[in-house]
Amino acid sequence: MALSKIDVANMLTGATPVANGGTALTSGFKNGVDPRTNAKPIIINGNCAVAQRNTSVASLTSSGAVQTVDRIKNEIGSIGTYTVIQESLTSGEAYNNGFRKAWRIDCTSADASPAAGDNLYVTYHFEGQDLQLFKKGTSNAEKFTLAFWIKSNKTGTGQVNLRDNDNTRLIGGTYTISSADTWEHKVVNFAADTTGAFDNDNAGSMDIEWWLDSGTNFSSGATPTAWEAFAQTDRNASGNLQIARNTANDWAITGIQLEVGEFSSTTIPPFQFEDFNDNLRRCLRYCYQISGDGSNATDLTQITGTGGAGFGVFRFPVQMRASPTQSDSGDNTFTMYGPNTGDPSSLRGDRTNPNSCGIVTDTGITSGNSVNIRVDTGTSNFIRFDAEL
Amino acid sequence: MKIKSVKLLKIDGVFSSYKLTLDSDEVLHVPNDEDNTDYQKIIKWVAEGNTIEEAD
Repeated sequence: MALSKIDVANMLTGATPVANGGTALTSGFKNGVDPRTNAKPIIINGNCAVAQRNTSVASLTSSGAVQTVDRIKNEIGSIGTYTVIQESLTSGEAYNNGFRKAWRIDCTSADASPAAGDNLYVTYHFEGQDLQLFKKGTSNAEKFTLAFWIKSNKTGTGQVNLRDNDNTRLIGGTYTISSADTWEHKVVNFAADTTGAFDNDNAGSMDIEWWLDSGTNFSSGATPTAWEAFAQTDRNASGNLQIARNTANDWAITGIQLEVGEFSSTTIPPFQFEDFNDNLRRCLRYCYQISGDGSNATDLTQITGTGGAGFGVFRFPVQMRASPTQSDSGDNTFTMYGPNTGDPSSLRGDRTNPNSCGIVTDTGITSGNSVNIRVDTGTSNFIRFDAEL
Repeated sequence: MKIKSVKLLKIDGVFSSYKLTLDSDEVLHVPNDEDNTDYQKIIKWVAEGNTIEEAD
């Protein structure tokens, strides 16, 4: 039977209908409309599934680098020794909500009494061009909502901040770990900021900081619940987790989610799971690593001798954020295959740009010969191109 | 990340990369790109009074 009439009057009674057949939210989405329909998650690799570099790194005493899970950095400033791992989940509420991996830090050498300038925190960095939807620095500025799953042997209060690097501003919030060694979901709201627009470029404009421990240089102030001029003493003013103080301590996170607007634990949209390939491809903008696969040598590229030295071209699968830094596991973890054999000499990236680079070796290839450069079989062998923030 | 040394690498007289050696002896080849955070660390390291070694 053809539809002949729509009872508009009846439709407009009661709760406002929305596209998915539910009821319009009373907070978060403005007028019940998702401002980011079909958009990707703002946080890349929020489910911690991708870890190109390593799955476990021990004996960390100073960092400021991504060690395991892509996009998540640990900052360690003279405050003990740590192991950082990509943890595999097999049970618990985070697992029950679809998360199979997490970023975790274990204290392996404690600092029972950190000096004033000591610090331990975890960061995620955003490009400014990916934050324009928050309209920061305008009269239409949006609120921020950060959600994540957290687990630690310590109960207590953690401080988490948004740090605006373009305008040297800071806002903080807190979350409470109520039960030890139990995955808990936290939702933290941050005010909108009509002061200080994010630069619309590929540089780092904002960081999320989860503070785990610190000396008084970072804790003698007050948690800024409104955006303020950056104050070092406010960054961990409310945190009392003190992860650095005992080797029994650990802290793990997954399901990291940033949303435009204000949401509560009941109104926040579901975590947007991406398939592994989509997740990996977004990570490749910041790091591209080719590793030994454990069973066969992995062809990297072909290079041609020019009277001793050899030159080749290597293209990245996606345009990287910036010209990347090249590093590798050492010449003896690569092999030349072809008319010349053996290890390459001083293998390195040359005149790197965001799309490609040259691959160079110093000696060992007869002029005019072409050889394949292969990453040796072992899974710890790698060549890495890193353009992280 | 603490820098032990930085050396300029050239090929046929043209810039190739900065060879950055960390305290851990890890070696990084850093491009000449202001958006690269390792390049930014080299600039800061030089501003602190350190010197980049010339190419061979």
